[in-house]
Amino acid sequence: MTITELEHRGEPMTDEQIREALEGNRCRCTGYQNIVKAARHVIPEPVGYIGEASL
Amino acid sequence: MSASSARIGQPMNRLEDPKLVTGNGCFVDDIKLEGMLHLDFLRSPYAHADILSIDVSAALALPGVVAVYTGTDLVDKLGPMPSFHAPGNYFNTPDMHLIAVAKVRFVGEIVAAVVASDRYIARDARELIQVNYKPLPAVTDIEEAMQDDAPLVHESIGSNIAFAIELGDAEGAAKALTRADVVVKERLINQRVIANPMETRGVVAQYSPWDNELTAWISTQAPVNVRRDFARFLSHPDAKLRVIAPDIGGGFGPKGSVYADELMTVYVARDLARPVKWIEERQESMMATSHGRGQVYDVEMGVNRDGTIQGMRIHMLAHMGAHYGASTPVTAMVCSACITGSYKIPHAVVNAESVFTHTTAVDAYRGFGRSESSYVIERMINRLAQEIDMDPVRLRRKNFIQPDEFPYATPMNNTYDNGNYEVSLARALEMADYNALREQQKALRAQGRYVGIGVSSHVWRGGYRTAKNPGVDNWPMVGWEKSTVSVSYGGGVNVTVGTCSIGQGVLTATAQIVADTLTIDVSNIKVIEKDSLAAAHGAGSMGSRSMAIGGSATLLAAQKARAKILRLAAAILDSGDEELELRDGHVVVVSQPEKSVPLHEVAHLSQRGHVDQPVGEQPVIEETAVYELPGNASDPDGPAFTAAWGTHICLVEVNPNTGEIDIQRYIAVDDVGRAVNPKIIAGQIHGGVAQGLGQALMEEAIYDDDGQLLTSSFLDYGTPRATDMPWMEVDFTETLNPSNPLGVRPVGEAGVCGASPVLVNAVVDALSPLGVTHIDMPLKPEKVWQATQRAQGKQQAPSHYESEEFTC
Repeated sequence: MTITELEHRGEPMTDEQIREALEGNRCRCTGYQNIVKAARHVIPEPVGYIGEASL
Repeated sequence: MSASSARIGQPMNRLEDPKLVTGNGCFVDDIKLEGMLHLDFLRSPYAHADILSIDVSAALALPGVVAVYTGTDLVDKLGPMPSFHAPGNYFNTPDMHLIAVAKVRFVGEIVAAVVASDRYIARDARELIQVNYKPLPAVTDIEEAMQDDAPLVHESIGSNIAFAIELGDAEGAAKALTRADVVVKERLINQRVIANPMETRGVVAQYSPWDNELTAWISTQAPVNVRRDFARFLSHPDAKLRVIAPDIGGGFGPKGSVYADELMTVYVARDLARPVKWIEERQESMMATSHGRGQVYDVEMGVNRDGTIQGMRIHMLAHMGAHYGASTPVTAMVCSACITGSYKIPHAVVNAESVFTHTTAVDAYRGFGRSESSYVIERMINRLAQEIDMDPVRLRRKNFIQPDEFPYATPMNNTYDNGNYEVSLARALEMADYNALREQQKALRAQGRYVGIGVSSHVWRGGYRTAKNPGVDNWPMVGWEKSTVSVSYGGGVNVTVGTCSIGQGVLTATAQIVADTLTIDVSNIKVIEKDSLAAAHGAGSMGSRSMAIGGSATLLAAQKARAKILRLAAAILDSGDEELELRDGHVVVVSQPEKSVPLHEVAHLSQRGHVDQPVGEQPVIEETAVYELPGNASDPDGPAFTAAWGTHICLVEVNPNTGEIDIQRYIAVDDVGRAVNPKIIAGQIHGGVAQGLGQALMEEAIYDDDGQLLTSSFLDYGTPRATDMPWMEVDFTETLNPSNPLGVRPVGEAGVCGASPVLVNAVVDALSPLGVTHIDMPLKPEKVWQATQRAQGKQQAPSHYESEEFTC
């Protein structure tokens, strides 16, 4: 639901900002890796930003 | 989805996920039955107390309450709880009542059970029960529990020592340590943690008095074991007892045992002949569901200046808690057996003592025994490297067991059947650009920054064989798995296995194996699992066995089914001795591919009776395989467990003024043998690393001297959030495993074996210029800061970490 809201806002976010936005969710299974990746699919990166998924 | 996507090796999306991610799963708490009652438990607020009296009259009088049970109500009807039992006299095994009768032994032990028409009335009624306790002194620290004057957890045993073992060669180790150029002594704490799956435990049970049938839906990793335990404990005919594990929100080990509250729920359903539900609350879960780890090691390791390890001697203490879960005493055994890790250590000895305390039982938790052993050996390797000023990668390479040295018998009387530790290490170093990182570290250190690189080259094992000689060097667990592949009249394929999807993706991987073998698509494959009515045999999912053992059984069953299909097709196609092959779900004559018949037609025609059956053949396509590893841990006939290994590398920057740790890079390269589904494998690594980092950075179950669990909610017990986790760079190497037909290696517990040592190694490396040589987990900021102060000889304010309160 957080990701849906962020998608509606349409504002670019860094990976750190996405992780901060997801602080209200606790997951024991995924290490948040694919959750952040999924959020990244619908939330634009700031111009010129190189995110962690490019590592 | 094209037919070619569902093959072994394909990173296909999980079949379980569409319903789970849309909120359409069915977990135990989603089950609602007509007339269902709710069960709530009154649990002891004392760690050790006599129960003088219980008055349930006020609870019974509350409208909506149907029944209240106490221990004395049950003592003539039900025996002690099923508990870990091994042949021989190795273990002192305590009895434990379902509901405490005269005494309570840990905070959270059940004292009464209330059944009501809804869970809120049950809760209110619970609060009305009057219990008169006489508190007794409690002991929660292992070393205190071993003293002669310590309060006894179980008087009948006469001591708090559950058992003591020695593995290895004490004399050889002692001599080796005197010969070594350098001996390093260190005390390591592997703190008690709590698994905290997102779904807590729970049961819905239903009884039909007309046919004496009991059905239980339970959040468990091992429905077949649970069924047996329920039937025996309740003296109920096993054939009339059905156990179903619906969707499970994480298991991680503790859900592999049977608990008093679960047994009680099923008992009440039968006793009242009404459906009953019990769902564990989070705070309840933190004290009632088994904990993990909880060990202390005094380690001495000897190394020569050239880097060759000479010997190791360890004295280890392990918390049992107040009683046993299904695997409680085994953790110390497994840890001891694996403690030499990836290295040739010519002489080693471990003395392990497992100790009862007035705390929640410690049982299997992801990595169990092997995460502990990996932590000890990988931490000590780095400790040695620091001592002799050798690069920790170089020290590891110097002492690795080499591929041509397998099968390799360790001083712990365990034989490793195969391994190639260098291949994963090399890949991890490449991904990290390790030499460049060391250069960067030098430059940043010159600027006064504290940057550290941690390495862990952990080796572990999963997929165990049934131990031939259960004892101190063998894990007494069922090690075979059964799979049946059948084709229905309409051509649909069923796979029935005894493993369990608990969120890890076993269902999808199982379907892929069958799809690959029969060259069909998963859209017409149904995996049947977790219902004892259909999958009555098997040992569930734990110890990273689901693919190595379960998957191998499925492969063999699917191969048998394929052979049967080809035999029937030969009759249908009248192809004589011509070579036949399955392609895209069709049986084709290799030399004349236009001559073919689809799989569903083979099944249909065969069962319809339209096939001239070859002599001895019958019309149904249903093939079963039971698979188990061939060997025994201490004999060279073959492996008794499935070997796995990997290297993790971690880059951190530490602020010595605040103790904060910034994880800048995390690299994980584990050898998985054949990758059945790379996406699922990566997911397992991610989750395991998260739990390993959780333990390394923040998790700790803390008891005070009175036995109160101070960390019994998420306010006090931290698990990682998105901001705590690094982006994980995951790759794997695929050294096919000759010990099973699939060639796989265990994967599920790799993350916890690598993550905790690698993180501590990185932080210690970062602070080594200040003279820090070790910091115990969890590396909370205050602790890290205290370590830097101490190392610099600075006075600091007393830390609560040094007070009596926080012990292991």
